[in-house]
Amino acid sequence: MAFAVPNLKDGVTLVSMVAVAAAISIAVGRLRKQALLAERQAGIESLRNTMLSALSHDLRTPLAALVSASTALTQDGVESRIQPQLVRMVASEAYRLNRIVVALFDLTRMQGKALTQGHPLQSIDELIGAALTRLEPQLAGRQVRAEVPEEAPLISCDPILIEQVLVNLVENAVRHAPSSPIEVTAWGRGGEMFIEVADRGPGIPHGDEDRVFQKHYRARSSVGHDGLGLGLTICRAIVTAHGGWIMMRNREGGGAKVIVRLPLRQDVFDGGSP
Amino acid sequence: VTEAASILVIDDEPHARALLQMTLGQEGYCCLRASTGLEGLRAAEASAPHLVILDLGLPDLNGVEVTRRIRERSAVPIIVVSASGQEKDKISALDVGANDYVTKPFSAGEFLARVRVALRPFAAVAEGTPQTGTSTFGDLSIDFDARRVARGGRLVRLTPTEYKLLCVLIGAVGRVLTHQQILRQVWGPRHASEMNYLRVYMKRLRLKVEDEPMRPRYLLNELGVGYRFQSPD
Repeated sequence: MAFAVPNLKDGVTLVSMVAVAAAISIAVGRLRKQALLAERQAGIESLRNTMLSALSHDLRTPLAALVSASTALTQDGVESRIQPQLVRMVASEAYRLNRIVVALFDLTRMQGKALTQGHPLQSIDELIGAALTRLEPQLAGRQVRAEVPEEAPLISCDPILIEQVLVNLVENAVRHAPSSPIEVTAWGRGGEMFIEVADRGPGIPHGDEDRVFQKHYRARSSVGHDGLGLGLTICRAIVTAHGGWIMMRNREGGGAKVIVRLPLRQDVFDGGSP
Repeated sequence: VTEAASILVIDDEPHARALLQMTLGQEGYCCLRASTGLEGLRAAEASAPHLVILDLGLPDLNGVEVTRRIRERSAVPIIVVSASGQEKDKISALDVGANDYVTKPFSAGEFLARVRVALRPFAAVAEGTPQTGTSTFGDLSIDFDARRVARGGRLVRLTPTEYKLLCVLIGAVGRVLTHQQILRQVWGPRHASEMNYLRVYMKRLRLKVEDEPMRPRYLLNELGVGYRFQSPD
């Protein structure tokens, strides 16, 4: 080791200098880690702020529809022919409003929380099961394959938020890949949990792989426009806040897949590949 | 219940209260109303309703506190109504004795189904009460005397812990049990925080009892709260 030590008087000085150097390197390491954490926190912060303003803005649309539809209903002489139409509008706009409010609450849950710590361990099959149950009406008649190896590890996460990620991903597949089967798989490997949601739809246009996570991104193939256009952005925010990572790719043989990677707690052992 | 069951609705929001009264009234229930926690406590004592619907977001008293105080004096079933962001209160209310919950916004059908389950006289509640005879739910049958479980006529081999877990959940059929309540009843009070046990055993039990363990029909997961045994009939 080329280590020039000027005015070195004895071994004790060398030892103490080595100790100082070690202490400095530990401190530098800690600072670097803190900087990384701060950077991640700042990233989540700005992502959250962007979504917050977008969602608050979005609140106005269903609210306006609700006000006009419901006032029309209370007026005398409203044509009986359009009454059921107005009632349906009230119900669907109310649901839309609720989706926005749920998304806003998700953002609140993310606030300043260390999401990988302090949560009870969750089993990924339960989270997938809960998401599929919630989506049952949209999945009616659709072929869905869900597979998790028996020895898959438990993950430490906010169950409500990770279920929301799964709901958004499966909903996204339903919307963009009509009549395609949907596959949801999860497995543990190398200290991480991998979750994959895949379809056999049209896939994503070349070059859009990262843009899909940007707010209000809408694919050309998108069927209907009931989505908030924020589903995948919210997924990215939640996964990032858990110290994880998300990406979308085209599949061999057609279709798209989203892969989520979440860090496992150190005391949790790895479990099988799919 | 032969006479019209009386249901006390404790909610500070006049519209929500009116809507619940309308929904319950249409089904022939007799509805009592209170707009604060204290008023609700007085009404619960004075009129002895068959069921209490309690909103967790009251202005004067915390819903968990209201639940606790009602439970000190009465075993009346309580359904708590919670909004997003009140998960902690919801679980605490269940832990101190509420019987079930609904999350706003809910459909009238979902709400009335919960009401019907809550009004059903309690079956053998697992804690202490021995279950006897045979019970059948869909293609699942449990012979409590022989401690034997069969699915579609075929014997299902359960370990003693798996069997106990199933019995605890069946003892509360249709109602949610919190993780803590299940852990305490199956593994004992010292293991009330050992969530891993519960996850692992629930997974094994589902593999043996469900056709599609990931889309269970019987052993339903109530995310972040606990589990509910659902009878398919």
